[in-house]
Amino acid sequence: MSEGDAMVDAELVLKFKGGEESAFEALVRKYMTDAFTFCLHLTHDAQEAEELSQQGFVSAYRALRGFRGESTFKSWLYRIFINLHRDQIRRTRRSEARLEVVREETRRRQEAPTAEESSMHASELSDVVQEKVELLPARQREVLVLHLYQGLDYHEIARILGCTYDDVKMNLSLARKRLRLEMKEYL
Amino acid sequence: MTCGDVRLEEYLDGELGEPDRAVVETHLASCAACSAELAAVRNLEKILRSVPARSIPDAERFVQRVHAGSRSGGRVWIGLAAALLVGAVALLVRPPADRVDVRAELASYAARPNSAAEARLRDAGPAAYPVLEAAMRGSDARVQFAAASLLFKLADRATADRVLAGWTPRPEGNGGALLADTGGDSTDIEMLPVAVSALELQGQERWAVDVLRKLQWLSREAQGRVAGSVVTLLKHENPRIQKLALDIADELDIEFPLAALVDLLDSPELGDKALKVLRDATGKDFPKDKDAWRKAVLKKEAP
Repeated sequence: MSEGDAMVDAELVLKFKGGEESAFEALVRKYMTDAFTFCLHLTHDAQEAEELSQQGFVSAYRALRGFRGESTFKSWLYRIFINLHRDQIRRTRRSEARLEVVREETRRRQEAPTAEESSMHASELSDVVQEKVELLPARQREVLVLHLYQGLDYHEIARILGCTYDDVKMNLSLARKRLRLEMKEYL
Repeated sequence: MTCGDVRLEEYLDGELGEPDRAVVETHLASCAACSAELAAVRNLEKILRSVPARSIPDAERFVQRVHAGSRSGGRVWIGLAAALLVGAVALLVRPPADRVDVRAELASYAARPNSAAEARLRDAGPAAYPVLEAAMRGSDARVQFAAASLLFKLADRATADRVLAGWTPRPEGNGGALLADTGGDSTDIEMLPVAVSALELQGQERWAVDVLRKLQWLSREAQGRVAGSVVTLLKHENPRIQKLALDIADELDIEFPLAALVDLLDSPELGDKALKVLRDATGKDFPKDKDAWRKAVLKKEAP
């Protein structure tokens, strides 16, 4: 994220705090695609991702007046998504159900590959990638998704996740090692 | 510079400043193994990035929902309405608790832990517990452990403790079956108290050590909790448990508070093993001198 971008965000936050409601909508429009994509990588389900990202923006709206600007708005916002997602997992134990869905899908595909499926290599690879990322331990998945699909650097990821630079480095490295092992037939 | 010192992934990720980058590039120019490693990680990244981006199905509706949620009672109301609807439908199609076939659900869970079977058994409530308890006395290790896992997840603490206390140890052990797939998600850390309790049961150690070994790979949180449990077990009053904890400490591939081992140095049964673990972990070669080891360990663990 460029410094200019962060300054635009800071201005919008100030305007919102000054009572300009449209400034928040501008922030939603600016980040909603990134937010949805990010939540999709966390949840592996489009409907869940849409609800999680919407709920994140609603939480952000309520908390924004207390935002002190010690991090960038983007880092702060992503931290909200991460926390909401973790709460959701804790509360509903969805992760296990989700894992089972992934396993079921994999089993189904392995048991009955159709001609259409076998000719759709790119789509299949994309499914495999999503499935393998989905099965990473939570912290590794968060770091990988923030790095790979949001293009954030180690320091920014550390700020979002509330951990150290070395934690980010270690978890990213573990995620890569595991994915290389799990996806060796595709590499 | 050895290959182990090269900050290859930080280099790939653009995290290094100019002097460090040049160091890596100089090494890469003369090291085929590291060049191949870099190419492999790049190839993985390329494939991972090939997942097509997805846009929000309806951006205007998204903004409207955020707008509505921001001004309502704390939820995105359409999402809530959808959730309520799904819940109502689920209630309509869910079988009554007394019609849950506990044995069939247990068999399904034993074949492969799954949330659908677990949810149905949860619905069955305490009526399912006697069947699960009976299954723990059966001869199939996988079913035994599935039943134990479910009881620990679903039953109240008193029931779980009673079950564990009455679990008859089997001299032949259990073949190392696992209660659930580990390495999938951080919720698997819930297995930790089960594994720690099972360590105290003769005949179940192999399974428990297996679980602890796997749990350490889940996350930093899991690593911290596994290390914490091992430290507690090292102070256990039963030397057999202490010995098991020492074996696990020896195998842990994570940061482990070595100070917990120093107190075992003067134990007649465990001193030699504790010394070996300390030597392996620190690279130092002191004899069984607790003061010397305390200093060495403090130095190693200082931030």
